[in-house]
Amino acid sequence: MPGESLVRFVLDPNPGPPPFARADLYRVFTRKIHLDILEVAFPRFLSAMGRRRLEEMMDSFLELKGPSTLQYPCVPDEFLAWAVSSGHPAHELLNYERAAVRAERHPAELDHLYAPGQDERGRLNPTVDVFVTAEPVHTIAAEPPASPSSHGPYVYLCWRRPRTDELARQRVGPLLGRALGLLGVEALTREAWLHRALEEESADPEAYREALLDLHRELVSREGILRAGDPD
Amino acid sequence: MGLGFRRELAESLFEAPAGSFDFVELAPENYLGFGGRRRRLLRKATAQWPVIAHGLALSLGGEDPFDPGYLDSLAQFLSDIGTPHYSDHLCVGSAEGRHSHELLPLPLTLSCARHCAKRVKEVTEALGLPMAVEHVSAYGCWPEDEMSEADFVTEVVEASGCGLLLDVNNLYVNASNFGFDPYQMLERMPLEETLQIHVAGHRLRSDGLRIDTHSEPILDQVYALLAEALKRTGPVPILIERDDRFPPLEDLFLEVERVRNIARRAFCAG
Ligand SMILES: [Fe+2]
Repeated sequence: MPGESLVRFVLDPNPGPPPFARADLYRVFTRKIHLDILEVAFPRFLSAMGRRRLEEMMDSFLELKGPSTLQYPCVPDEFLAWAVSSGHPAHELLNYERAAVRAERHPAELDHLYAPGQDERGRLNPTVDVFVTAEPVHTIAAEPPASPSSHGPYVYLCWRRPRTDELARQRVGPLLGRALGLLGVEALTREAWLHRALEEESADPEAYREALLDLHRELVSREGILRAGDPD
Repeated sequence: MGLGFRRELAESLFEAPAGSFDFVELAPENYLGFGGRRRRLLRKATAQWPVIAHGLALSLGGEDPFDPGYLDSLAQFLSDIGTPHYSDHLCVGSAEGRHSHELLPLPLTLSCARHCAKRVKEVTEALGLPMAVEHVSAYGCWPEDEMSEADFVTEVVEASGCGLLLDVNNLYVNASNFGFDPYQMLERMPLEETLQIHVAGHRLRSDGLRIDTHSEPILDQVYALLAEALKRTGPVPILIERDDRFPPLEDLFLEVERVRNIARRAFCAG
Protein backbone atom coordinates (compact mmCIF):
# COMPACT_ATOMS: atom_id res chain seq x y z
CA MET A 1 0.00 0.00 0.00
CA PRO A 2 1.47 3.36 -0.96
CA GLY A 3 0.16 4.91 2.29
CA GLU A 4 2.92 3.20 4.22
CA SER A 5 5.56 5.20 2.38
CA LEU A 6 4.31 8.20 4.35
CA VAL A 7 5.01 6.38 7.62
CA ARG A 8 8.53 5.64 6.41
CA PHE A 9 8.89 9.24 5.31
CA VAL A 10 7.95 10.61 8.74
CA LEU A 11 10.20 8.21 10.66
CA ASP A 12 13.24 7.47 8.47
CA PRO A 13 16.56 9.24 9.07
CA ASN A 14 17.07 10.12 5.39
CA PRO A 15 13.62 9.82 3.98
CA GLY A 16 14.17 10.91 0.40
CA PRO A 17 11.65 13.03 -1.48
CA PRO A 18 8.26 13.53 0.21
CA PRO A 19 5.44 11.39 -1.25
CA PHE A 20 3.35 14.54 -1.72
CA ALA A 21 3.56 18.28 -1.12
CA ARG A 22 3.47 19.28 2.56
CA ALA A 23 4.20 15.70 3.71
CA ASP A 24 7.09 17.23 5.68
CA LEU A 25 4.46 18.73 8.02
CA TYR A 26 3.68 15.21 9.22
CA ARG A 27 7.37 14.64 9.93
CA VAL A 28 7.33 17.74 12.12
CA PHE A 29 4.10 16.69 13.89
CA THR A 30 5.41 13.18 14.55
CA ARG A 31 8.52 14.57 16.18
CA LYS A 32 6.53 17.04 18.20
CA ILE A 33 4.12 14.53 19.72
CA HIS A 34 6.98 12.22 20.62
CA LEU A 35 9.03 14.99 22.15
CA ASP A 36 5.96 16.17 24.09
CA ILE A 37 5.42 12.81 25.74
CA LEU A 38 9.13 12.29 26.48
CA GLU A 39 9.39 15.72 28.09
CA VAL A 40 6.52 14.87 30.40
CA ALA A 41 7.91 11.41 31.11
CA PHE A 42 11.49 12.46 31.87
CA PRO A 43 11.48 15.88 33.58
CA ARG A 44 14.71 15.26 35.50
CA PHE A 45 16.57 14.19 32.41
CA LEU A 46 15.18 17.27 30.71
CA SER A 47 16.37 19.66 33.38
CA ALA A 48 19.73 17.95 33.90
CA MET A 49 20.65 17.28 30.27
CA GLY A 50 18.59 19.81 28.36
CA ARG A 51 15.95 19.69 25.68
CA ARG A 52 18.52 19.41 22.89
CA ARG A 53 19.89 16.11 24.28
CA LEU A 54 16.41 14.66 24.66
CA GLU A 55 15.49 15.73 21.16
CA GLU A 56 18.62 14.14 19.70
CA MET A 57 17.89 10.91 21.53
CA MET A 58 14.29 10.97 20.38
CA ASP A 59 15.39 11.43 16.77
CA SER A 60 17.74 8.47 17.04
CA PHE A 61 14.99 6.39 18.64
CA LEU A 62 12.44 7.25 15.95
CA GLU A 63 14.86 6.69 13.16
CA LEU A 64 16.73 3.62 14.40
CA LYS A 65 13.87 1.75 15.99
CA GLY A 66 10.62 3.68 16.30
CA PRO A 67 7.78 2.87 18.67
CA SER A 68 6.13 -0.46 18.08
CA THR A 69 3.46 0.07 20.72
CA LEU A 70 -0.02 1.10 19.65
CA GLN A 71 -0.43 2.83 22.97
CA TYR A 72 0.97 6.35 22.94
CA PRO A 73 1.36 6.48 26.75
CA CYS A 74 3.74 3.51 26.47
CA VAL A 75 6.11 5.27 24.07
CA PRO A 76 8.43 6.40 26.92
CA ASP A 77 8.76 2.76 28.03
CA GLU A 78 9.91 1.73 24.57
CA PHE A 79 12.20 4.74 24.39
CA LEU A 80 13.74 3.65 27.68
CA ALA A 81 14.10 0.03 26.51
CA TRP A 82 15.87 1.31 23.41
CA ALA A 83 18.19 3.52 25.51
CA VAL A 84 19.05 0.53 27.71
CA SER A 85 19.64 -1.85 24.82
CA SER A 86 21.75 0.66 22.96
CA GLY A 87 23.81 1.24 26.11
CA HIS A 88 23.01 4.92 26.18
CA PRO A 89 24.91 6.56 29.07
CA ALA A 90 21.73 8.23 30.39
CA HIS A 91 19.66 5.07 30.59
CA GLU A 92 19.97 4.72 34.37
CA LEU A 93 18.53 8.16 34.97
CA LEU A 94 15.71 7.49 32.50
CA ASN A 95 15.01 4.22 34.26
CA TYR A 96 14.91 5.94 37.64
CA GLU A 97 12.32 8.38 36.34
CA ARG A 98 10.21 5.76 34.60
CA ALA A 99 10.10 3.51 37.67
CA ALA A 100 7.56 5.85 39.19
CA VAL A 101 5.25 5.52 36.18
CA ARG A 102 5.66 1.74 36.06
CA ALA A 103 4.63 1.54 39.70
CA GLU A 104 1.81 4.02 39.25
CA ARG A 105 0.35 2.17 36.27
CA HIS A 106 0.97 -1.36 37.54
CA PRO A 107 -2.27 -3.26 36.94
CA ALA A 108 -2.37 -4.94 40.39
CA GLU A 109 -5.52 -4.25 42.40
CA LEU A 110 -4.40 -2.95 45.79
CA ASP A 111 -7.29 -1.26 47.48
CA HIS A 112 -8.21 -4.28 49.60
CA LEU A 113 -4.66 -4.58 50.92
CA TYR A 114 -3.38 -3.07 54.19
CA ALA A 115 -0.08 -2.95 56.01
CA PRO A 116 0.50 -6.05 58.17
CA GLY A 117 0.26 -5.96 61.95
CA GLN A 118 3.13 -7.05 64.22
CA ASP A 119 2.67 -10.79 63.82
CA GLU A 120 1.00 -10.92 60.47
CA ARG A 121 2.66 -12.14 57.35
CA GLY A 122 3.54 -9.46 54.83
CA ARG A 123 4.96 -9.34 51.36
CA LEU A 124 6.25 -6.64 49.08
CA ASN A 125 3.59 -4.41 47.57
CA PRO A 126 2.93 -6.03 44.15
CA THR A 127 3.56 -2.75 42.36
CA VAL A 128 7.11 -2.48 43.71
CA ASP A 129 9.50 -1.64 40.92
CA VAL A 130 13.09 -2.54 41.74
CA PHE A 131 16.13 -1.60 39.76
CA VAL A 132 19.81 -1.53 40.47
CA THR A 133 22.27 1.02 39.18
CA ALA A 134 26.00 1.51 39.43
CA GLU A 135 25.58 5.29 39.69
CA PRO A 136 23.62 7.22 42.32
CA VAL A 137 21.09 8.45 39.77
CA HIS A 138 18.99 10.25 42.38
CA THR A 139 21.77 12.82 42.69
CA ILE A 140 22.17 13.53 38.99
CA ALA A 141 21.66 17.20 38.32
CA ALA A 142 22.67 19.81 35.79
CA GLU A 143 25.61 20.75 38.02
CA PRO A 144 27.58 17.65 39.12
CA PRO A 145 28.29 17.55 42.88
CA ALA A 146 31.70 18.86 43.97
CA SER A 147 32.68 15.71 45.85
CA PRO A 148 32.66 12.32 44.15
CA SER A 149 29.70 10.16 45.10
CA SER A 150 29.94 7.01 47.17
CA HIS A 151 30.20 3.65 45.47
CA GLY A 152 27.21 1.61 44.34
CA PRO A 153 25.45 -0.49 43.48
CA TYR A 154 22.27 1.32 44.44
CA VAL A 155 18.95 -0.44 44.75
CA TYR A 156 15.93 1.74 44.07
CA LEU A 157 12.39 0.77 44.95
CA CYS A 158 9.27 2.58 43.92
CA TRP A 159 5.67 1.56 44.59
CA ARG A 160 2.08 2.75 44.52
CA ARG A 161 0.19 2.91 47.80
CA PRO A 162 -3.30 1.42 48.04
CA ARG A 163 -6.34 3.70 48.00
CA THR A 164 -4.45 6.99 47.58
CA ASP A 165 -2.35 5.95 44.53
CA GLU A 166 0.43 7.95 46.16
CA LEU A 167 3.92 6.95 45.04
CA ALA A 168 6.70 6.08 47.43
CA ARG A 169 10.40 5.59 46.83
CA GLN A 170 13.10 3.95 48.89
CA ARG A 171 16.81 3.54 48.23
CA VAL A 172 18.69 0.70 49.92
CA GLY A 173 22.09 -0.92 49.72
CA PRO A 174 22.57 -4.26 47.97
CA LEU A 175 22.47 -6.25 51.22
CA LEU A 176 19.09 -4.92 52.31
CA GLY A 177 17.88 -5.11 48.72
CA ARG A 178 18.58 -8.84 48.68
CA ALA A 179 16.82 -9.27 52.00
CA LEU A 180 13.74 -7.47 50.67
CA GLY A 181 13.78 -9.81 47.71
CA LEU A 182 12.71 -12.56 50.13
CA LEU A 183 9.44 -10.70 50.64
CA GLY A 184 8.93 -10.52 46.90
CA VAL A 185 8.64 -14.27 46.58
CA GLU A 186 7.00 -15.21 49.83
CA ALA A 187 4.83 -13.69 52.58
CA LEU A 188 6.65 -13.76 55.91
CA THR A 189 6.12 -12.43 59.39
CA ARG A 190 8.67 -9.88 60.43
CA GLU A 191 10.42 -12.40 62.69
CA ALA A 192 10.52 -15.08 60.01
CA TRP A 193 11.92 -12.57 57.55
CA LEU A 194 14.61 -11.41 60.00
CA HIS A 195 15.55 -14.98 60.65
CA ARG A 196 15.84 -15.84 56.97
CA ALA A 197 17.74 -12.67 56.11
CA LEU A 198 20.23 -13.11 58.95
CA GLU A 199 20.74 -16.72 57.94
CA GLU A 200 21.68 -15.76 54.43
CA GLU A 201 24.20 -12.99 55.16
CA SER A 202 27.47 -12.95 57.03
CA ALA A 203 27.29 -9.24 57.90
CA ASP A 204 27.66 -8.05 61.54
CA PRO A 205 24.45 -9.64 62.90
CA GLU A 206 23.56 -6.93 65.42
CA ALA A 207 23.98 -3.98 63.08
CA TYR A 208 22.35 -5.88 60.25
CA ARG A 209 19.37 -6.85 62.42
CA GLU A 210 18.91 -3.19 63.39
CA ALA A 211 19.02 -2.11 59.75
CA LEU A 212 16.54 -4.80 58.76
CA LEU A 213 14.15 -3.78 61.53
CA ASP A 214 14.35 -0.11 60.55
CA LEU A 215 13.71 -0.91 56.93
CA HIS A 216 10.78 -3.19 57.75
CA ARG A 217 9.21 -0.54 59.96
CA GLU A 218 9.71 2.09 57.27
CA LEU A 219 8.22 -0.02 54.49
CA VAL A 220 5.26 -1.14 56.58
CA SER A 221 4.47 2.44 57.51
CA ARG A 222 4.54 3.48 53.86
CA GLU A 223 2.70 0.37 52.58
CA GLY A 224 5.68 -0.96 50.66
CA ILE A 225 5.00 -4.15 52.59
CA LEU A 226 1.40 -5.29 52.61
CA ARG A 227 -0.48 -7.93 54.49
CA ALA A 228 -0.42 -11.27 52.72
CA GLY A 229 -3.46 -12.04 50.62
CA ASP A 230 -4.19 -12.51 46.99
CA PRO A 231 -3.11 -9.16 45.50
CA ASP A 232 -5.35 -9.58 42.47
CA MET B 1 -24.11 15.41 23.51
CA GLY B 2 -20.77 14.27 24.79
CA LEU B 3 -17.35 15.53 25.75
CA GLY B 4 -13.95 13.96 25.38
CA PHE B 5 -12.84 12.48 28.68
CA ARG B 6 -9.47 14.16 29.09
CA ARG B 7 -7.52 13.53 32.26
CA GLU B 8 -6.80 17.27 32.47
CA LEU B 9 -10.55 17.93 32.69
CA ALA B 10 -11.61 14.81 34.55
CA GLU B 11 -11.93 16.20 38.06
CA SER B 12 -14.01 19.18 36.99
CA LEU B 13 -16.19 17.02 34.74
CA PHE B 14 -17.00 14.80 37.71
CA GLU B 15 -18.13 17.90 39.61
CA ALA B 16 -20.22 19.33 36.75
CA PRO B 17 -23.99 19.65 37.28
CA ALA B 18 -25.90 16.59 36.08
CA GLY B 19 -27.16 17.02 32.54
CA SER B 20 -24.33 19.37 31.48
CA PHE B 21 -23.49 16.67 28.91
CA ASP B 22 -24.74 13.16 28.29
CA PHE B 23 -21.74 10.91 27.63
CA VAL B 24 -17.97 10.89 27.45
CA GLU B 25 -15.68 9.55 24.77
CA LEU B 26 -12.24 8.11 25.44
CA ALA B 27 -9.40 6.37 23.64
CA PRO B 28 -8.86 2.80 24.91
CA GLU B 29 -5.15 3.15 24.12
CA ASN B 30 -4.89 5.55 27.05
CA TYR B 31 -6.37 3.11 29.59
CA LEU B 32 -5.88 -0.43 28.41
CA GLY B 33 -3.80 -2.42 30.89
CA PHE B 34 -3.15 0.48 33.27
CA GLY B 35 -3.83 0.46 37.00
CA GLY B 36 -3.48 3.39 39.36
CA ARG B 37 -5.00 6.78 38.62
CA ARG B 38 -6.04 5.99 35.05
CA ARG B 39 -8.02 2.92 36.11
CA ARG B 40 -9.59 4.85 38.97
CA LEU B 41 -10.69 7.63 36.60
CA LEU B 42 -12.01 5.13 34.08
CA ARG B 43 -14.10 3.34 36.70
CA LYS B 44 -15.49 6.58 38.02
CA ALA B 45 -16.34 7.73 34.49
CA THR B 46 -18.11 4.48 33.57
CA ALA B 47 -20.06 4.66 36.83
CA GLN B 48 -21.17 8.22 36.12
CA TRP B 49 -21.85 8.40 32.37
CA PRO B 50 -22.28 6.26 29.28
CA VAL B 51 -18.84 5.90 27.69
CA ILE B 52 -18.10 5.66 23.97
CA ALA B 53 -14.70 4.33 22.88
CA HIS B 54 -12.85 5.92 19.99
CA GLY B 55 -9.54 4.40 18.93
CA LEU B 56 -6.48 6.03 17.47
CA ALA B 57 -4.05 3.37 16.56
CA LEU B 58 -5.42 0.51 14.48
CA SER B 59 -3.86 1.91 11.29
CA LEU B 60 -6.81 0.71 9.20
CA GLY B 61 -5.10 1.71 5.96
CA GLY B 62 -1.80 0.09 6.83
CA GLU B 63 -0.57 -3.42 6.20
CA ASP B 64 0.83 -4.41 9.57
CA PRO B 65 -1.21 -7.40 10.71
CA PHE B 66 -3.40 -6.77 13.76
CA ASP B 67 -2.04 -8.20 16.98
CA PRO B 68 -4.65 -10.79 18.04
CA GLY B 69 -3.65 -10.36 21.69
CA TYR B 70 -4.25 -6.63 21.46
CA LEU B 71 -7.63 -7.12 19.78
CA ASP B 72 -8.64 -9.62 22.48
CA SER B 73 -7.73 -7.18 25.25
CA LEU B 74 -9.47 -4.38 23.38
CA ALA B 75 -12.63 -6.48 22.99
CA GLN B 76 -12.65 -7.19 26.71
CA PHE B 77 -12.05 -3.53 27.53
CA LEU B 78 -14.88 -2.39 25.24
CA SER B 79 -17.23 -4.91 26.75
CA ASP B 80 -16.25 -3.80 30.27
CA ILE B 81 -16.96 -0.13 29.59
CA GLY B 82 -20.15 -0.92 27.65
CA THR B 83 -19.50 1.21 24.58
CA PRO B 84 -22.30 0.92 21.99
CA HIS B 85 -19.80 0.95 19.10
CA TYR B 86 -16.12 1.36 18.39
CA SER B 87 -14.53 3.72 15.93
CA ASP B 88 -11.10 4.40 14.51
CA HIS B 89 -9.66 6.43 11.66
CA LEU B 90 -9.32 5.90 7.94
CA CYS B 91 -5.62 6.54 7.95
CA VAL B 92 -2.28 4.83 8.18
CA GLY B 93 -0.26 5.00 11.38
CA SER B 94 2.30 2.23 11.22
CA ALA B 95 4.52 0.42 8.75
CA GLU B 96 6.78 -2.58 9.30
CA GLY B 97 5.90 -2.54 12.99
CA ARG B 98 6.93 1.09 13.54
CA HIS B 99 4.22 3.40 14.74
CA SER B 100 4.13 7.12 13.96
CA HIS B 101 1.27 7.90 16.41
CA GLU B 102 -0.05 10.26 13.75
CA LEU B 103 -3.21 9.94 11.68
CA LEU B 104 -1.57 9.96 8.26
CA PRO B 105 -3.83 10.41 5.22
CA LEU B 106 -4.31 7.61 2.72
CA PRO B 107 -4.22 7.71 -1.07
CA LEU B 108 -7.82 7.99 -2.20
CA THR B 109 -7.90 4.97 -4.49
CA LEU B 110 -10.37 2.16 -4.94
CA SER B 111 -7.79 -0.47 -4.01
CA CYS B 112 -6.93 1.40 -0.82
CA ALA B 113 -10.62 1.75 0.10
CA ARG B 114 -11.14 -1.99 -0.41
CA HIS B 115 -8.04 -2.75 1.62
CA CYS B 116 -9.42 -0.61 4.47
CA ALA B 117 -12.82 -2.30 4.20
CA LYS B 118 -11.18 -5.73 4.54
CA ARG B 119 -9.33 -4.57 7.65
CA VAL B 120 -12.45 -2.97 9.14
CA LYS B 121 -14.32 -6.27 8.72
CA GLU B 122 -11.49 -8.13 10.41
CA VAL B 123 -11.56 -5.76 13.40
CA THR B 124 -15.37 -5.81 13.60
CA GLU B 125 -15.35 -9.60 13.77
CA ALA B 126 -12.64 -9.62 16.42
CA LEU B 127 -14.37 -7.02 18.59
CA GLY B 128 -17.90 -8.29 18.17
CA LEU B 129 -19.58 -4.88 18.16
CA PRO B 130 -20.52 -2.27 15.55
CA MET B 131 -17.62 -0.30 14.14
CA ALA B 132 -17.50 3.17 12.60
CA VAL B 133 -14.74 4.78 10.56
CA GLU B 134 -13.74 8.42 10.79
CA HIS B 135 -12.30 10.37 7.85
CA VAL B 136 -9.24 12.40 8.90
CA SER B 137 -8.07 15.96 8.34
CA ALA B 138 -5.34 16.23 5.74
CA TYR B 139 -2.73 18.78 4.74
CA GLY B 140 -1.61 17.27 1.46
CA CYS B 141 -2.99 14.87 -1.10
CA TRP B 142 -1.42 11.91 -2.84
CA PRO B 143 -0.60 12.03 -6.55
CA GLU B 144 -2.26 8.57 -6.69
CA ASP B 145 -5.68 10.00 -5.70
CA GLU B 146 -8.37 8.87 -8.10
CA MET B 147 -11.60 9.62 -6.22
CA SER B 148 -13.08 12.17 -3.85
CA GLU B 149 -12.72 11.64 -0.12
CA ALA B 150 -16.50 11.22 0.20
CA ASP B 151 -16.51 8.48 -2.44
CA PHE B 152 -13.56 6.82 -0.73
CA VAL B 153 -15.37 6.82 2.62
CA THR B 154 -18.57 5.57 0.99
CA GLU B 155 -16.68 2.70 -0.62
CA VAL B 156 -15.19 1.64 2.74
CA VAL B 157 -18.53 1.89 4.51
CA GLU B 158 -20.41 -0.02 1.82
CA ALA B 159 -17.78 -2.70 1.30
CA SER B 160 -17.30 -3.37 5.00
CA GLY B 161 -20.84 -2.77 6.25
CA CYS B 162 -19.48 -0.50 8.98
CA GLY B 163 -20.87 2.82 10.19
CA LEU B 164 -19.58 6.33 9.67
CA LEU B 165 -18.11 8.63 12.27
CA LEU B 166 -18.73 11.96 10.61
CA ASP B 167 -16.33 14.68 11.73
CA VAL B 168 -17.75 17.96 10.45
CA ASN B 169 -14.63 19.82 11.48
CA ASN B 170 -12.37 17.44 9.50
CA LEU B 171 -14.69 17.83 6.57
CA TYR B 172 -14.53 21.61 6.77
CA VAL B 173 -10.73 21.62 7.19
CA ASN B 174 -10.21 19.39 4.15
CA ALA B 175 -12.67 21.31 2.01
CA SER B 176 -10.81 24.50 2.83
CA ASN B 177 -7.32 22.99 2.45
CA PHE B 178 -8.11 21.45 -0.93
CA GLY B 179 -10.53 24.05 -2.28
CA PHE B 180 -13.78 22.04 -2.25
CA ASP B 181 -17.26 23.04 -1.27
CA PRO B 182 -17.86 21.42 2.15
CA TYR B 183 -21.60 21.06 1.46
CA GLN B 184 -20.94 19.12 -1.71
CA MET B 185 -18.53 16.89 0.19
CA LEU B 186 -21.14 16.39 2.88
CA GLU B 187 -23.79 15.59 0.29
CA ARG B 188 -21.72 12.68 -1.02
CA MET B 189 -20.87 11.21 2.38
CA PRO B 190 -22.75 8.02 3.42
CA LEU B 191 -24.62 9.97 6.08
CA GLU B 192 -27.38 7.38 6.52
CA GLU B 193 -24.74 5.10 8.04
CA THR B 194 -23.64 7.64 10.65
CA LEU B 195 -23.17 6.20 14.14
CA GLN B 196 -21.62 9.28 15.68
CA ILE B 197 -20.55 12.84 14.90
CA HIS B 198 -17.51 14.84 15.98
CA VAL B 199 -17.32 18.62 16.13
CA ALA B 200 -14.17 20.51 17.03
CA GLY B 201 -12.15 23.63 16.51
CA HIS B 202 -9.02 24.02 14.41
CA ARG B 203 -6.24 26.52 13.78
CA LEU B 204 -5.93 28.69 10.69
CA ARG B 205 -2.30 29.33 9.75
CA SER B 206 -1.18 32.59 8.20
CA ASP B 207 -0.64 30.80 4.87
CA GLY B 208 -4.30 29.74 4.86
CA LEU B 209 -3.73 26.10 5.79
CA ARG B 210 -6.14 24.81 8.41
CA ILE B 211 -4.65 22.49 11.04
CA ASP B 212 -6.92 20.18 13.00
CA THR B 213 -5.76 20.99 16.53
CA HIS B 214 -8.84 20.41 18.71
CA SER B 215 -7.52 23.35 20.69
CA GLU B 216 -9.73 26.20 19.48
CA PRO B 217 -13.41 27.13 19.75
CA ILE B 218 -15.71 25.63 17.11
CA LEU B 219 -16.16 27.86 14.04
CA ASP B 220 -19.60 29.14 13.01
CA GLN B 221 -19.11 27.50 9.62
CA VAL B 222 -18.59 24.13 11.33
CA TYR B 223 -21.78 24.56 13.37
CA ALA B 224 -23.61 25.35 10.13
CA LEU B 225 -22.23 22.20 8.53
CA LEU B 226 -23.36 20.21 11.54
CA ALA B 227 -26.89 21.55 11.19
CA GLU B 228 -26.95 20.44 7.58
CA ALA B 229 -25.52 17.01 8.38
CA LEU B 230 -28.08 16.33 11.10
CA LYS B 231 -30.90 16.62 8.57
CA ARG B 232 -29.71 13.35 7.06
CA THR B 233 -28.06 11.52 9.93
CA GLY B 234 -30.97 11.69 12.34
CA PRO B 235 -30.29 11.74 16.07
CA VAL B 236 -26.86 10.25 16.77
CA PRO B 237 -24.38 10.90 19.59
CA ILE B 238 -22.50 14.16 18.95
CA LEU B 239 -19.16 14.75 20.57
CA ILE B 240 -17.19 17.95 21.05
CA GLU B 241 -13.50 17.16 20.73
CA ARG B 242 -11.29 19.42 22.82
CA ASP B 243 -7.80 18.10 23.48
CA ASP B 244 -5.67 21.11 24.29
CA ARG B 245 -5.72 24.76 25.48
CA PHE B 246 -8.75 23.94 27.59
CA PRO B 247 -11.11 26.84 28.19
CA PRO B 248 -13.11 27.21 31.42
CA LEU B 249 -15.61 24.38 31.60
CA GLU B 250 -18.49 26.87 31.31
CA ASP B 251 -17.25 27.77 27.81
CA LEU B 252 -17.30 24.11 26.81
CA PHE B 253 -20.81 23.80 28.19
CA LEU B 254 -21.86 26.79 26.08
CA GLU B 255 -20.61 24.87 23.03
CA VAL B 256 -22.58 21.84 24.25
CA GLU B 257 -25.71 23.99 24.54
CA ARG B 258 -25.23 25.45 21.09
CA VAL B 259 -24.89 21.96 19.60
CA ARG B 260 -27.97 20.81 21.50
CA ASN B 261 -29.96 23.72 20.09
CA ILE B 262 -28.79 22.94 16.58
CA ALA B 263 -29.83 19.32 17.05
CA ARG B 264 -33.23 20.30 18.45
CA ARG B 265 -33.88 22.59 15.49
CA ALA B 266 -32.72 19.97 12.99
CA PHE B 267 -35.00 17.31 14.39
CA CYS B 268 -37.98 19.58 14.82
CA ALA B 269 -37.62 20.79 11.22
CA GLY B 270 -37.15 17.21 10.03
FE1 LIG C 1 -12.70 13.49 15.11
